[in-house]
Amino acid sequence: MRKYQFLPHMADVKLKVTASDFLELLRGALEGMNALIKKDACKTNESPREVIKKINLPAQEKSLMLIDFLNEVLTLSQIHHAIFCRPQFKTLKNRTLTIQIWGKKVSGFDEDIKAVTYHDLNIIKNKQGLLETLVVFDI
Amino acid sequence: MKLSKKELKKISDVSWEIPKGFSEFMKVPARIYATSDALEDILKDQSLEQLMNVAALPGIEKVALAMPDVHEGYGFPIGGVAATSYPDGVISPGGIGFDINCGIRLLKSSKHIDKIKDYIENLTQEIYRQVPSGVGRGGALRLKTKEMDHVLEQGASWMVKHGYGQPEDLDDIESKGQLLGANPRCVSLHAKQRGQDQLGTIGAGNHFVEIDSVDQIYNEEVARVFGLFSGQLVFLIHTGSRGLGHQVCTDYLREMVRVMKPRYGIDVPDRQLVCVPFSSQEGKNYFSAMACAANFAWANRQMITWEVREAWQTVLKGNGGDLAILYDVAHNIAKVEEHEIEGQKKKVIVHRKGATRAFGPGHPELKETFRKVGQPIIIPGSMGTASYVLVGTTQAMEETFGSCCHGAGRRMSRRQAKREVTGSKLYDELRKKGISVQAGSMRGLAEEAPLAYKDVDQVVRVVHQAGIAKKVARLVPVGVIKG
Repeated sequence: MRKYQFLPHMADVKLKVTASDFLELLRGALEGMNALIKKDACKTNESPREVIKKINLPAQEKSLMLIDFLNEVLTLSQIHHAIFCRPQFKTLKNRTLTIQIWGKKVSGFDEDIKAVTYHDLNIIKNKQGLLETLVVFDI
Repeated sequence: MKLSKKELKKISDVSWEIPKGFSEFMKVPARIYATSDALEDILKDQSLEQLMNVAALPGIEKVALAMPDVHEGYGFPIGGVAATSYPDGVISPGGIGFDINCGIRLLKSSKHIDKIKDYIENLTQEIYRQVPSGVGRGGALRLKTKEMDHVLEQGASWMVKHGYGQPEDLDDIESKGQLLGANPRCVSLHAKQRGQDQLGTIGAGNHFVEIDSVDQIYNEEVARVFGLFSGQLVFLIHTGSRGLGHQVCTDYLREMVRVMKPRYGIDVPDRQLVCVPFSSQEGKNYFSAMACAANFAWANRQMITWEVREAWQTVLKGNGGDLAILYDVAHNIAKVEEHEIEGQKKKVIVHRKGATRAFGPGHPELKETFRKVGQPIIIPGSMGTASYVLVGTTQAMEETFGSCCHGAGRRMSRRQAKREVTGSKLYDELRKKGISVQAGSMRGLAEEAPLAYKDVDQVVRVVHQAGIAKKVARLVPVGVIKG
């Protein structure tokens, strides 16, 4: 289970993500970021398998892993002009989380996200027992 | 800890101070330049709490500063200035921001608006055609690996060497468009890939090219030195280091966040304020990479200058004359500078995040003509409103590490702006005011609506009244080109 919503922020974009576990939190945050970069790009019927990339995230504090994951995908999006959907969390080997991710080329983006920030970063367990975090994007 | 106005000490009608003792963490006081009314607005967001965090950075010198265009950022407030001791004070990528050397350049024509007004529509269209803008749009120049490294080391001078400008252009750029200490090996492959096709592009957001006319001259003598006259047609170019700079900041934040506490014992209240000693290996590497990104930004504005000059010659059929640079200033940068602190000349690392260098008369870094009067400062307003040319002062050297504001400053979120105004309505309003507009998206136009920004006239009045910059000329837009 995962969901995201955008909250007001003076100059940038604040994303609230709630999920049942950490991997779902990564998926939810990615969906939120993709909704900003190119709305509904992951929902179209075009082949999603145009670019396949692997991301290795060394195990560390989970909030840092979240930001590293989003920044890595953002970088891949910018370099390959693609939207990366459907992450597959392959292995947690040697304390490294390996993520295979499929991207589809797009002709342009809706929003120019400069980076995913560490601002006020925290992952908490909310009253419903779900993981919850706020992510600020510099746009 | 949320501040209230009564906790601030009034220094003058336009300056306020949070005393050092207000929080046990603050190492220096924090000063805010604002009118009483504007201060009340500033207190509504987290700007000043963020400024207090800046005042707690290891090695901070003298005072943490907020300019009148200050608004909440992440880590540092936007419109913040802080100097740390050299070489063992900290350098903080968050004190510079992701858009390293986002800045502004002013080009002067020798033409009066009355002679050119029939060309403005075509000129706006031609600039939109020549200067790629918008999200993800690349430019005509795609750099090979070696060429990229040369651009990162040499900045604007590489562009001039390759025909994208004249040698005299370099004299009118802060640091001559080349920050020393740049080392391309400190820039990741990802960063270079993000920047590979982005030279000569403005991007999106608040970046733009604008055609303006000089509406009012406040200081005839300085205007003459700057080559400005009433009615003159000028151009503003506002953009930065694009994806390359964003990636440099991301890469080094990631590295520093891991070593800051275990290796250097530094703790900060917001991870976006992450920092390391300037003299540490991570600090040196970041500074070298940041200098590369700053150079890339100057090369970018140089390439756009070339594109604007091409558009000018095309539309005026070669009869427009030259477009000379008045000046090019950085808004987001860290520099090693010498300033007087407690009566002693001292080297410091000046972080300017959403702030402009404002060196006063006599500064050795300025070219001879400017050394007599002070450095030109270019303050863009929001879309459709006035912009200003100011001059740096001796008082800025004494009070603000030679710095002043950088623009109008946001007062409303992008989302709220879009709720309050539609892009098409704004487009019509600008057209009614006689401003020609070329924009990649109506949504982007709405996000940058003037109502989303503070009143630039007020912001400039504050720095003028405070004496940290003096008004020289006011510009009004006649053409706007946005991504």
